[in-house]
Amino acid sequence: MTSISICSVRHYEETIVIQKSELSPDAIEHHNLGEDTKIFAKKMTKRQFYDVVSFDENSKTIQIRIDSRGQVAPNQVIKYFHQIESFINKSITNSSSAPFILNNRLNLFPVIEKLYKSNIGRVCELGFLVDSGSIKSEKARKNPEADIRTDTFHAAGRNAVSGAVSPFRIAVEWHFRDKENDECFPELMLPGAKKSLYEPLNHPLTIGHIKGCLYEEDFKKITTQIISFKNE
Amino acid sequence: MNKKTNEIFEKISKDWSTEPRIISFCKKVTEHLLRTSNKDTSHLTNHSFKKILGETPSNEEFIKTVRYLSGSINIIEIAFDFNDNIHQPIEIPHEEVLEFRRTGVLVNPNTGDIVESPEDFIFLFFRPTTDFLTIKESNAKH
Repeated sequence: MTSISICSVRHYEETIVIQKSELSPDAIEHHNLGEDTKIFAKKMTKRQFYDVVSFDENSKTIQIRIDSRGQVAPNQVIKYFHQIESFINKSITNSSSAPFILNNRLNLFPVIEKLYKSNIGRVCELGFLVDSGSIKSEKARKNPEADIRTDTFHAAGRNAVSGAVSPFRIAVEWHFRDKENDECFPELMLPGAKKSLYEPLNHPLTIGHIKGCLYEEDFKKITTQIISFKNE
Repeated sequence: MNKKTNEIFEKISKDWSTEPRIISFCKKVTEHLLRTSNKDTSHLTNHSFKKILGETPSNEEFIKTVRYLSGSINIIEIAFDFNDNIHQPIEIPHEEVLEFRRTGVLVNPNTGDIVESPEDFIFLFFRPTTDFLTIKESNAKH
C-alpha cells in the first residue's frame, strides 16, 4: 500500500463553555445571568490536520482518510473529503495526458448487514428496521462483553421476527493488542440511512468513520475487512 | 392450503410459464406472506423484499415481480410513509404523493409546513393487500 500524507491548517467551529467567573459583574447583570445559566460560545479554531490518501494495490482501491480529530462536524468532514478528492483529481490530471476523475465510489451499505451477521468485533451501536415498520436504535454499554448481537433482549427480538432485521447503521469496536500502552479499541461507524433500505440505488453509503487506531496497521486491518466484505 | 391459495399458485405458474425465475420469486413472496404474521409483513422495504426473494434478482426481474404481484394478481400493494426523523413515521395517501409528483410541493402531515427536499422524507414500502389477507385468514381456518 502506498500512502501520501497531506498536512493542512484548517479552521473549524468549536463550542466552548464560558464560566460565569470569567465575565465581568456588569456583563452578568446586563444579561441577567442567574445561578442556573450556562454560557456557550462558538469559537473558530485553527489546527493542523493530517489527511492520508492510500493507494491499495491489492484491492485496487484508493482510500481518502480525513483527519477529524473527533472534533470536526460531519458536514465539515465531507467538505474536506471533497477538497482532497479534488486535489487528487487535479494532481493526477496535471501529471498525465488525460483528465482523471475519481468517480467510482464504493457503496459500503451492504457491508453493514455483513458485519452484523458476522462475529467480527463487538457491535456497540445499531440502527435497524423490522418488517412491521418499526425503527430501532440500540447502544451497548462500554464493556468488552457487551455486544448487541448477543444481547438477550436483542437476540430474543430477532428470533421473534425470524431474523428479519434490516440494519442501516452500525458501529463495531475491535480490541487490538493487550499490552499496556499499546492496546487500542478502534471503532468503525458506518452511518447508513434508512433511505438506503428503501432506495438502495439512489442512496449509496460512501463514507465510514474510524476512530481510536494507534498505528497504520490498525487502519489497514479495518479497511481490509470492509473491502473483503464489500467484495464477497 | 385452500382452493383460493392453490388458484394463486396455479395462476402464477400459468402466467409466467416461460420465465421460471419469476415464478420462483412470486411464489417465495406469496409463501412468505402466508406463513408470517400480518404485523411482520406490514412494512416491507425494497431491501427486505429482495431478501425474501433470496437469490438476487436483476432489476428487470425485480420490477416484473413487483408489478405482477401488485397488479392483476393483487397480492401486494405499494404504500408511502412520511418520516422526518422528528415525528413518528406516518402513512401518506397515494393522492398526496401523486400531487407532490405533479407540483413538487409536499405538506408535512405533522406540522402543516411545506417540506424542503421532500424526496428525502417519502419512503415507499410494500404490504399485503386486504384481499390477500382475507384469503390468508380463510386459509388459516381450514
